[in-house]
Amino acid sequence: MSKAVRMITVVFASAFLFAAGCAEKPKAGDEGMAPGSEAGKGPGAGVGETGLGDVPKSVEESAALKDIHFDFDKSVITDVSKETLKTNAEWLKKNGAQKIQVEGHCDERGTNEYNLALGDRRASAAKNYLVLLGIDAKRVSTVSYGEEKPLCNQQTEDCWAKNRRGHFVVVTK
Amino acid sequence: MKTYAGLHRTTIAFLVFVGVMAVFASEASAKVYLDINNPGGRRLPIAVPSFIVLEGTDPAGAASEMAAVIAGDLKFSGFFEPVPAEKFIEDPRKKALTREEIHFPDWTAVGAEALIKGGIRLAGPRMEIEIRLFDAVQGRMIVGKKYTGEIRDARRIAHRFSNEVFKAFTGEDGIFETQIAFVRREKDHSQIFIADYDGANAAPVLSGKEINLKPRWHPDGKRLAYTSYKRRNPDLYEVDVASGREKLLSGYTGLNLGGAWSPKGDSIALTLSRDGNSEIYLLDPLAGSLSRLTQHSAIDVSPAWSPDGSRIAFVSDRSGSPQIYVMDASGENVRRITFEGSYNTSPAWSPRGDKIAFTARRGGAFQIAVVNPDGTDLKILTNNGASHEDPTWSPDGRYLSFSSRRNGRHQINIMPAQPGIAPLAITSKGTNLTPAWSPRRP
Repeated sequence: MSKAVRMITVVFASAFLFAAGCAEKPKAGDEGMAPGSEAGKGPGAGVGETGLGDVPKSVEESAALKDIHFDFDKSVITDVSKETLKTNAEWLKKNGAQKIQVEGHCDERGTNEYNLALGDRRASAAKNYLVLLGIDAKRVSTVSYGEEKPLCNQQTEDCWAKNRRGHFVVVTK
Repeated sequence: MKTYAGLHRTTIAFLVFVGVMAVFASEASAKVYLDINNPGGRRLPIAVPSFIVLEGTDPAGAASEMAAVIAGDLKFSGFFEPVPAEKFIEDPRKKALTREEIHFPDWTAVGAEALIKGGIRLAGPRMEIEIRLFDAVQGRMIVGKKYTGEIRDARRIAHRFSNEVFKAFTGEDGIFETQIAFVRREKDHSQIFIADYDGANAAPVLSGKEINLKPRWHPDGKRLAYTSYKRRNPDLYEVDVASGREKLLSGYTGLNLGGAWSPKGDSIALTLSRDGNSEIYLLDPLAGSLSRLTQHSAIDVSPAWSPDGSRIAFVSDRSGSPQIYVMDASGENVRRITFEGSYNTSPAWSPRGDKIAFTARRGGAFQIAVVNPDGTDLKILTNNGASHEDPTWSPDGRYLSFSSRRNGRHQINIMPAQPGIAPLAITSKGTNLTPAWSPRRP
């Protein structure tokens, strides 16, 4: 979507919210509602709407933030991962203005759609643990990549273990 | 009994580029040749010799390609066994196309009980093809058709005649003109492709270089729902296949996955994690309104509609491992239907309603299994050393497509939905995943 189109969508969405309200009220600051049909048709017949959540537009890698790892088909934070998350939380406390995103990843075994749900759960588990350590939940977003972004491409236990990870990136926009 | 139904049709759905010029006169009969409900039964031996070039030159080899496509379709169907060409004894220079011209003992002598004969006239990019199906034993024509089109339509026309043959012998419509959408994973992105059901004519649907996942057909066969990361979040989109026009269907923060259109096309079952955990919702794509079907702290994912729209199969790990469940389309009456194994995912409800296919992990490998919607009669269909995932049914509910990994890479395969049959790979380039078999198009 081009910037101009996005702008139009946002403006139109706001107008729509005022004019008509929405079918299911979005949580404040979390999700807005935007029309699914093209702008320009005008409100009324044919107007649809869909959730358009707030997501980071760009992120960058940070050497200070370390990956955590998971067992096969599990999203439990292991004791080793807890130590890593404490280190990552320290970084967040020292860099109070920064926001991060946790990416949940899986190994290639199993079906893609289930792995996307599993990756989502892993990212949420990592986020929840950071919140438990005192980090403001608003500073930590999550995204699942399932098995779609492997670090390692061999079919070995070592490689699969590397791919089952929570990866942390810094939100830049 | 329904047979030779194709002969009595007076109107034929035309493609823009393929016209059926004439239906030759024929002797219809009430004989049913093949028992469609006994797919493991005897295969009918059929000869499909290379078509005969009657006029013009055939540099692209359309004459032999069309015969090969028809033989391939019929062999794949499980109901026919093409007679190998090296057995043929008819003089290939003999231009025998009609009942009067064909010496049928040349064909019965090599074991053929049915025979397909085609002739092509080529002129520039255009061609005219006449194809006839014969009962070789009785020396009678069963179906005759004349088609016109461009040379590049050769495969399409061949598939169309395969449908005629299938209909004539079984009384049911064939699936040889359907397509399969799938994901091709590249180094740093993945793309939605559509190919003919046999893998030919594979082409990308979208132009972007994002991660695009899990295509699912709208029941009109013109649109696909899919999940794309173009906004750095797994959002659900639809694309009109002919125009390539995309539209956002659902962009909530978190997962927007697996857009399964209801059989009527008025509702989309999908997975959202907007409430902190993956749950299954129904989205009304026009109103944008959501209703939540599952309420559980476990993973709930991969909704698949029953063909009558009354129930939805899905995956949940609420028991501690991912298993297949069935619920009413209202979200009520949730019942677990798989109890064997610790990993059962990606349900696909047969268009016939009687089976649910899914991915079953057995001994470290993944297999394609089917089970009745009430959980009875579980059967593993694949068992050939490879790993298989993500089944999708052909619109007649007789065949399955899925991805299979042999020698490292996943490829799209097709197979009759019965145990003990070797799957047929229809892709060979790159890594190909998550097929979705198209509906039949009018």
